Amino acid sequence: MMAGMIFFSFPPWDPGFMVAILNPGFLFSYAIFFSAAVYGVRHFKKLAPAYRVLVLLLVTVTISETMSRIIAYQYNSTVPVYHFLIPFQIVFHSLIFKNLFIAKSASRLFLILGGIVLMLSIAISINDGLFVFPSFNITWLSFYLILGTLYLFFQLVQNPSDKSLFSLAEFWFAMGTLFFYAGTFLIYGLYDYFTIDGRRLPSWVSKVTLTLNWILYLSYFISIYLERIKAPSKHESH
Amino acid sequence: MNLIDDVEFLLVFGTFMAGILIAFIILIVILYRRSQLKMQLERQNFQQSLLETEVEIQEQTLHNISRDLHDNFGQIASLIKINLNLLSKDLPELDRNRISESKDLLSKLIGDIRVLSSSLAAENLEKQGLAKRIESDLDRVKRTGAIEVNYNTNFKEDLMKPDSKVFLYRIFQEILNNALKHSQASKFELDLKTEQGAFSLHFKDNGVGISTQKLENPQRGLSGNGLLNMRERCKILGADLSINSKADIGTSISITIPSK
Repeated sequence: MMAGMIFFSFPPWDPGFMVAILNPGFLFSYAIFFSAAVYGVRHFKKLAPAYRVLVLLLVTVTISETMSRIIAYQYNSTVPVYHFLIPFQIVFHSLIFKNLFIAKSASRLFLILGGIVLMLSIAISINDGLFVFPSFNITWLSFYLILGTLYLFFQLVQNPSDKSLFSLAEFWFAMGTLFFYAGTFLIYGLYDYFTIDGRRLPSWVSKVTLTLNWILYLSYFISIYLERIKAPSKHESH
Repeated sequence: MNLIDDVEFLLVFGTFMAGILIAFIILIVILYRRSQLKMQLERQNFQQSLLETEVEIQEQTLHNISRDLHDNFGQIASLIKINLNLLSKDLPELDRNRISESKDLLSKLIGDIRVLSSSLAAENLEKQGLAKRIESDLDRVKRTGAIEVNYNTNFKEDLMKPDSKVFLYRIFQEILNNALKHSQASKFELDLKTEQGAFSLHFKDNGVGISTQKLENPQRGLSGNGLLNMRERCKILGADLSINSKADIGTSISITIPSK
């Protein structure tokens, strides 16, 4: 186990904090979103606008996760990067919803809601500082995305196509987002409770978050793949 | 929290949360499937009513043509015949013979117009009866002497709705027209039966057959109109249509209308 940790630690001669953040689980997660981003960029022109934004989101995640490990090497913390990543996530998801929602009123409502969550997130980051874990920001982001995906599921049920639900890109996007952000909403909503009296975050939190990460990015990958193989003439936007 | 608490919490909380999410996804899949079936049903109903409207328009057009044939062409032909009768009295022998020949041709034309007009009008079908109407159509074919026709029926007129009879008659007309135009057959066999409330029409000829390509993929505007019309009418009627054809052996067509 130790040998494995040293092998995956960076730099290899300095195992410690870096071991915790450059573990096989993270590398597997990294491999998924990196591959999804590369695949998305390769087929960018063939994708519908919503999935182009999803590809941009994956590229941003890849860059920020890479930077977080470099910053962690410098400051022993990955936290600052997430303060910058969350606003991007809010903006990209708002644009994805805008392109996926059929009803103009819903698109507008979610853009406004996205704007409010964005301002809230920036305000919290300014107030708390860059080295405080942005659990509130994540909770608000999760709340926003859960609402969005629930509406997307509602839209899918209201406007069925001839295809199976499992062959729809929207379904995989909504499912991955719902699983991941339902998890993070509960975990980071209870962040203060878990860390009360200066306790360390329970060890299962990182494991659950990692598993949810795999689900999220695999779902995004499937979603982009399904969108790409969709025949242009049969293109339906749900 | 110690390690045991951690594990217990993870197991209970994680299983509960995953369970809820999975149950939610299953619910979405079920709702989506139901919604999909509802949409398919609506689409089918829409197509059905579209077909019905199309057929209704066709029937109305046929009715108009039938009325015009009877009222205008038939009358004009009769008037010409009367004029020819009047004209022939004072003419020499040779011209009288020519006029007599013309009168015979006119009589045939008037007869044909009457038959055609009657076959186009749906309301006459109810008066005459489907089995009888088919018999008279087949008799006309038989009278040409080129084709041997066998017709068997035990059709119960009262058990079928008037609209359905019109549909079945139009299908029969399509079959007969197609066979006369394309089959080059020397023998037709037709059975029109009622058995236990269900109806069936079986037609068989010994002609050249229909090509597999045309059978599998009939196209409107080409020579596949008859097949398409038959299929559409059978669909509206709720009938099963089966067509078997072999090159130089012939074609057999079966239409079964289940009892309701």
